[in-house]
Amino acid sequence: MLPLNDTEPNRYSWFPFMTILLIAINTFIEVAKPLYLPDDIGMWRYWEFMMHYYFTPKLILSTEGPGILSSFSAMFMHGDFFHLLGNMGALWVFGRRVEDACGAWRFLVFYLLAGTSAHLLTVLVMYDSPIPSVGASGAIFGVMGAYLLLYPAGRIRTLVFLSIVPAWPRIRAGWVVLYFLGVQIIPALNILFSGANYGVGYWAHLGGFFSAAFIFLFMRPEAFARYLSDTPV
Amino acid sequence: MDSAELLRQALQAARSGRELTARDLFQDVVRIDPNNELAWMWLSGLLDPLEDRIAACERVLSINPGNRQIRAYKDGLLKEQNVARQNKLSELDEKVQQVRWYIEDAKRDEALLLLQNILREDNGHKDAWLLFADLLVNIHDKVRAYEAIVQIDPSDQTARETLKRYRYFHHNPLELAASYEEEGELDKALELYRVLATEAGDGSEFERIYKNIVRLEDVKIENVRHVRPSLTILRLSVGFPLLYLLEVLIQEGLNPIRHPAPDLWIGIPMVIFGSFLLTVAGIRSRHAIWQRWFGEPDGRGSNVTRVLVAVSGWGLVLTPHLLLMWDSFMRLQTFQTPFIPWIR
Repeated sequence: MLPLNDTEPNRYSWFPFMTILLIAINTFIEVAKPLYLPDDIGMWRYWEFMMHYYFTPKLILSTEGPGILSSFSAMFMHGDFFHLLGNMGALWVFGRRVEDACGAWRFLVFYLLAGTSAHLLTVLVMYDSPIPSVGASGAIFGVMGAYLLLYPAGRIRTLVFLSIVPAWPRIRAGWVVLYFLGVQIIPALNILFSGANYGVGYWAHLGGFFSAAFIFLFMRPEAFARYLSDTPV
Repeated sequence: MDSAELLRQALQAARSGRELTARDLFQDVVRIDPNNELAWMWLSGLLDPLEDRIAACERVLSINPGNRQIRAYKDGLLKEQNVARQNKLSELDEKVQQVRWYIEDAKRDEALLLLQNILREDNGHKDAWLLFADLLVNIHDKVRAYEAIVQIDPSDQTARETLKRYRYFHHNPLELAASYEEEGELDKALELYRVLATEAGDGSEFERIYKNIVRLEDVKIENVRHVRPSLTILRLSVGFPLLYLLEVLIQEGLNPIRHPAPDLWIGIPMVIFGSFLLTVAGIRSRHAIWQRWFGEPDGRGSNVTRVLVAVSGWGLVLTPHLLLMWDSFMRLQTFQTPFIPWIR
């Protein structure tokens, strides 16, 4: 299941400035990767880079390393191009209308808050983990959660494969988001109880998703009034 | 005819029960002889209304201060006048209460009509003027109503400030419509926008006002609830401090006691205040800071002061963030990468 586009129009602003800016920054950092992380960098230098700029729970708890700076740098870097593509695709699909409900700058603060919350929960659950993590997915799960709260009846054009036949129906946003939430839960519980390592930040995803509850602190006044009135936001 | 003859005729008319003739004759007497005590005494009983009878008594007493009979009579008249005044006032107060009920029942036209009657009877009834000013939509009428209120009670500071505010809105009526909207008075805002649309100077101004009319009509149709601006300010002020709090927690390894960094915690009140300023400057609602800090009559902030407050807000929000990033950067500079076996 791959969300392609939100089919509903914006209500308050026509241009999702911040969503596009975030996509541009993330893409630029990935495209510029050969400059700061060349292929022949060597094992040790690569490890050194990850310890400095990726998010490592054990370093955070021991207050070694840069701390919050690593949280922000990890939020804007990705493992590879497909990692970037998946995250930015989701940001485009779900971010556009969440930004519309908040306004560009408040959306940015919410995005950073979701990313930080994702890292915070990762540290709380995997406090002893020395494995560095990277990617915007925690923040993007926050955006998806916010979308679920604000536009549960929205329709998302989604690519699905019926056996090997591709189809792109408009699926209710609630189902799409709940599907992505659902696939996080079992691995997350497995990590918690059996210490499994999947190489995916499931707890960061959940942390970001739960931070969606804070979206009400960022919504523009008109959108908040509509939400309280049970009127489409 | 001399005054003595006129007096004689007046007395004769009074004693034979022709009161109106007698009153006119006594008035002729005092016109010829203003100090005729007897004529004034008769007039104090024949004149109408009560105020004129009291004035006649006073005239008698000024001619002859020792006239006890007329003094007692005047005291009686004053009491009578007091009772009449009280009755009239309570009658007007009852009418004002009726106006309030009309307003509660959204019967604006009835309320306005009754208020006009009250003010015709007593032009100095402050409560009636206040209600009248509140019901009026035309800003020019509002200004005049508040001018009357300030004239009735010059010590009323709130009325003075409201007058100042409405005088400002007189020159910026769109601001007033926006202000009504913020306070949840959609009908008033719509009515004002419609008036302004008819007075629009050009097509683009009309277009702008018309968009507001359509938007507000939608809000009314969709029955969108009104959220108090104070709640909005509180709500929107929380986001930035929350983000900063999480950042500091991560910076301190989630343990402020084990890894204390008081300089970072000092940033919290700064971020709270900065976030508040940013919100106040951003949502454009009526707030005391515009009047108290900048003395702006509309209480909603001019473009210049809003930019000033927003810049201060950004300064207060960003400074602790920059200090936090600096702290983080310094740690990055001194960080020794752990050796790979550190993984376990």
